[in-house]
Amino acid sequence: MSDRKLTMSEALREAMSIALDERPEVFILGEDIGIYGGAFGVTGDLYHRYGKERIRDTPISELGIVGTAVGAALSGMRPIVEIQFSDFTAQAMDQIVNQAAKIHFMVGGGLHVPLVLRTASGSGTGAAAQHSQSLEGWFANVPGLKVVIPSSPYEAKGLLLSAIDDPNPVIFLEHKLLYKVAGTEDVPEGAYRIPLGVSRVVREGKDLTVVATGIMVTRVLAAAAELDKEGINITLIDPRTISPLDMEPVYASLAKTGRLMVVQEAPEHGGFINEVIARVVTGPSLGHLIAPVTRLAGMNVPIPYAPQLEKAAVPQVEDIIKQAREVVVNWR
Amino acid sequence: MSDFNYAVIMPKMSMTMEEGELLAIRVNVGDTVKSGDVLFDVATDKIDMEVESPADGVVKEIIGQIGSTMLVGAPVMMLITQTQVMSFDFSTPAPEAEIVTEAPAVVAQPVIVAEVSKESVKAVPKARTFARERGIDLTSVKATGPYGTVTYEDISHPQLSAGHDDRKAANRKMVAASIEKTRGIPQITLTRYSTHTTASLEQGSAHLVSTWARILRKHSHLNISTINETAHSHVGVALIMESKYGLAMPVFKDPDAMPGNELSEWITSTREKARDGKVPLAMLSGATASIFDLSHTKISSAIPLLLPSNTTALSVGAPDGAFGQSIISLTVDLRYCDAIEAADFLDQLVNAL
Amino acid sequence: MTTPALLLGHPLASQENARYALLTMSRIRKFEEAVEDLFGRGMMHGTMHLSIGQEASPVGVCMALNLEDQITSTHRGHGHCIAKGADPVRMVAELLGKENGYCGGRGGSMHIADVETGNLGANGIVGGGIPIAVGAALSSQLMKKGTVVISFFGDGAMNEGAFHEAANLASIWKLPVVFICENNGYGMSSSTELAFNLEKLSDRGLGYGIPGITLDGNDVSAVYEATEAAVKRAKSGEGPTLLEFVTYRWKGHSRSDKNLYRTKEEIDEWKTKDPILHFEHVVVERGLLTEADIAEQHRLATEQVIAAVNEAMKGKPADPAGLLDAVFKKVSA
Repeated sequence: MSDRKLTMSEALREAMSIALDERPEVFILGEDIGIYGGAFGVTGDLYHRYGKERIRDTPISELGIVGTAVGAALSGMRPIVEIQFSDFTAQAMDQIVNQAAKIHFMVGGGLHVPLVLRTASGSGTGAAAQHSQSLEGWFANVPGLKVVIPSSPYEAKGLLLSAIDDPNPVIFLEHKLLYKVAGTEDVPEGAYRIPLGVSRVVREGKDLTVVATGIMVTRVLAAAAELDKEGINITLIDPRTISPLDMEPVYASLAKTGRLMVVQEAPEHGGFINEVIARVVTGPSLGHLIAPVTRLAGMNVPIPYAPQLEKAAVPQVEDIIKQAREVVVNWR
Repeated sequence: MSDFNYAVIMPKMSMTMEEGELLAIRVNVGDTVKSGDVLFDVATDKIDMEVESPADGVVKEIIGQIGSTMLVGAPVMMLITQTQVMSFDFSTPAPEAEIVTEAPAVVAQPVIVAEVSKESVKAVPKARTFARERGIDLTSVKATGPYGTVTYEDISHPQLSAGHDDRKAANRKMVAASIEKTRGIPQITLTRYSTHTTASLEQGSAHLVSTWARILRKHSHLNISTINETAHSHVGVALIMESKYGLAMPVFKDPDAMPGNELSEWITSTREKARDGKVPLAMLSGATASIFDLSHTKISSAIPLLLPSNTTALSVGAPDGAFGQSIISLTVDLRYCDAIEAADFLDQLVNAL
Repeated sequence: MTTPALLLGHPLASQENARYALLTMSRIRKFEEAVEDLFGRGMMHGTMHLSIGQEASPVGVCMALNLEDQITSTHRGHGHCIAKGADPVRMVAELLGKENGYCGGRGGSMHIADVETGNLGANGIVGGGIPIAVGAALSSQLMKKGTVVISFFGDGAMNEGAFHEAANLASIWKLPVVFICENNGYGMSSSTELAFNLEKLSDRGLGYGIPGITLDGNDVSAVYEATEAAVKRAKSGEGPTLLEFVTYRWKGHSRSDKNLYRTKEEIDEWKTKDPILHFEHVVVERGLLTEADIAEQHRLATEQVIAAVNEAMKGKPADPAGLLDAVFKKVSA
C-alpha cells in the first residue's frame, strides 16, 4: 500500500479499530470518547462503528475510570482507557500506581492487568500548567508499568497494537502536537506490530548520538538536517518505550560517535533522560565517551501560558542545534 | 470440658520489637481472669502496652520478673484455660521464615590503585582508555579541551606538546646560524632540467643520493672539508627532511657502497624517525654534501644553500606535470670548483639518473 | 488438609448449613488467633489487621455466593479470604514469607488473592478495591457471565473518593456489584461519629441512586438475607446495592494499637455481641445444633488451623532470585 500518510490520530484510531475487530474483550472507556469522538478526536467515529457498550463514555471520574478498567482487566477484558490529558492521571494515581502496576507482582502472579492507558501529553497548545505536562518519568519510576511514547503515526499504530496485546498495564503517552500532523512514512492499512522494549535507530551519523522520544524525535530530526549542512552528523535513537528501556543501540552507537546528548520535554530534574545517562556512565559505554554527556530538557518550571514563555520552557529545534554543535565542536 | 495449659508470652508488638521490659504484673497466682483482662504491662522500644488474657482461665504460675527484659516469645506466665488458645511454640530451631543469607567469604583482592599523578589529570574516558592501552602518561599530553581536559584527539592525534614550540624555534635558529656561516662564500648555482623521473623517484631519494655520492667520490677535490682543506675518507650526504621540529639533516655515510634497496629502506625509516623528532645521534655529523629532495612536493625548484664546510649542495624539484621533467640545481663553492666544471658535474648527474 | 467446599444457602436452612456457618466463623477466629500468636512470637514479619469479632459478615456474605462470583477485599481480609474458600495452608505460608504462600511471599497479609475462589485480592489502600470490583462487574456484564462481584470495604473507605466514583459508575451502568461496608466503628482511631455526619452510612447510597440498608453485622443470618437479596437484584440487572453491616473489631487496628481512642467498657460491651456466640444461641434455641455439635465445630476449626500452621511451617522460604522476573507477566509469543 503506497502513499498512506496518516495523522497520529488516524493511525491510533486504526490500531484501536483493528484491536476491536480482533478481540471481543477489547473495549474503550473514557471521557467524551463516544459521540464527541474524544477530546483530541482520536476515537472519532468508533462510537458509531462499535456501539456504546464498547466505546464507553464515562462521567468525569478519572479514578473511577481507571479503577473500573483495572477490575475489568483482572476479569477477562482488555480495556483501553483514554484520559484526556496526562495531567489528569494524577486523579487516578492510586489505581495506576498502587493497583494496576503491582497486582500481578503482589499476588504472586495469579492475576494480571492487560490495560492500556492512552493519554495526551506535552506542551505547545497554550493550555498552561495543568494541561501540558510530560509525566513519563513518574510512570517509568513505577515497576510494573510499561511506558510507551510514540513519535510518529507509523510508530503509534504498531506500538498501540503491541500495547493492547501486552498482558501488563501500559501507559501510552501521545504528544498532542503530533495528533494532527501527517507522518512522513506510509502507514500500512492492516495490522502490524512494533514490539515494546526495542529502541529504533532513526538515523545514523558519525559525530553525536542523540536519544529522544515523542515530539523531540521530530525536533531532533529537524536539527539534524541543519547540522548536516555544517558537517555535523547525528545518530538519533528513539527508545519508543522508556520502560522497559532498550539501551543496546545506544551503546553500539556510542562506540562510533563517543558523544551522547539526551533530549526531553519534561523538566530536567528527575527526568527519564537521566536514566539514559546513568546507564551510559555506569555501563559498558563509559570508555567510549570523548565528550561529557550533554542533556537538554524542559526548564524546572510549570509549563507557562504565553506562547513565548511556553516555547522558552521546553527545548526547541534551535536549542538542539546549538547544544549539539557545541558538544561536537568543543570535544574532538 | 478439658483444661488447657497456656503460656502467655512476651509478645511482639511492633515491626521492630525484639525484646520488652516487664513493667508490672497485674495478677497473682490463683486469680481467675477473663478474656481481655490485663495480665501485665510491657515497655518496648516504641510504646508501652498492656497485655490481655486471650481467654478465660486461672493464673497457674508467674515466670517473669518485674523490671526484667525478656525476649519476644519468652513465657511470662502460665494460665489454665477452658478453651484451647491458639499457640505455636516452634522455639527451637529458629523458624525458617527468617532468611539468613550467609555472606560469602570475601577474599581480599589487591586493589588496582590508579597512579596518583593521573588523578589530577582531566581526560575524557576514551582518552584514558587509549592512554592506558598504549602506556601513555596522561600528564605528558597537552590538553586542549574545555576546562583543561585531555580530549580524545589530544591523545590520538597529538598536536604538539608544550615544549615543542621552543624546540622548533631552537632548531630553526641553529639551521639559520649554520647557513649564515656560508653566506660570504663565493658560490654559483646552476640549474637544468632533468628527464629522470618516476622510476628513480619511486625509491625515495635513494637513487639520487647514491648517484651523487658516486660522482663526489670520483672527484675527490669536491669531497673535502673547507675548514682544514683535507680530503674526506668518506662521502657523507646530508638529506634534508621534515621533522616535528622543522628541518632535520641526517647524514647518510657512503650511500654508494650499499645496495639500492637497503639504502632506500634506511632513508625511509630515517624519514619516519625524523618526523617524530628522533634522528640517531650518529647521523647528525659527517656531512660532505647536502641534498634537498623536493621531488615529492609541489615545489618545482629551490636554490640550494651550502652547509658549513661543504663544497656542494644539490636540490631536486617536483616533476612538471606536462613534460615529466624536474629542475635540478647545484650550488658549488667557487674556491674549489669553477662554474664550467660544475656544469659538467650536473650533466654527469642528470645522465646517470 | 482440605478446604471445606463452599456452601451456598441460608445459615439456618439446615443442620449442615448451620454447622458450616459456625465452622467457618470459628475457623476465621482461630486462624486470626493463630496468626496473632505467631506474630507475638516474632515469627511473622510486618504487621497485620485482625477481624476478630467481625466473622459474621464474610461468612454470611459468601454463603450467598457461587464459586464463580467474585469478591474484592481489604487490609482486614483474612475472613473474606477464608469464607470464599481459600486454603489456610497457603494463607499461613504467605504470612510466614514462604514460597508456597498465595503470593510467593511477595504480598503478605494485605495482598492475598485467590483466583480459583474468585477472590480478586485484599488491598492495602483504603478504598482501593472498590473501583476494581466495579470493573470486574463491568466485565461480568460485558461478557454476560451472570456473576456478581462483592466489594468489601470498611467505614473509613466511604470517605475516599474511590468509593464515590465507583458507586456512581456502578449505578449509571447498573453493574452487578454489591457494596458491603463493614462498619466496625473506627477507621484506625477515627470513630464514625468523628468521620461522618450521618446516622446510617448506607444513606450515602441515595446520592448515587443506590438503595442502602443498614443492619446488624454480627447476625450471620441477617447478613446472608440482605446479601442474597442484593445479589439477586444485581444479577437481574437492576444494579448495585449498598449494605452497611454494623460490627466491631475486638482487637486494635494493627499490632501497635494501644486502644487510646476507645474504652475497655465499650470493647467489653461488644464482646457480649460476639457473632459466634449469637449464632450458637440461635441454633440451640431452634434445635438445629446441640452443644456437642457446637463444641465439635470449634474442635474441628482448631484442628484445621493447627494443621495448617504446621504444614505451612514446612514450606521453603521465598527466594529473592526470582524477584525481577515477577514484575511483568511474560508476553506470550
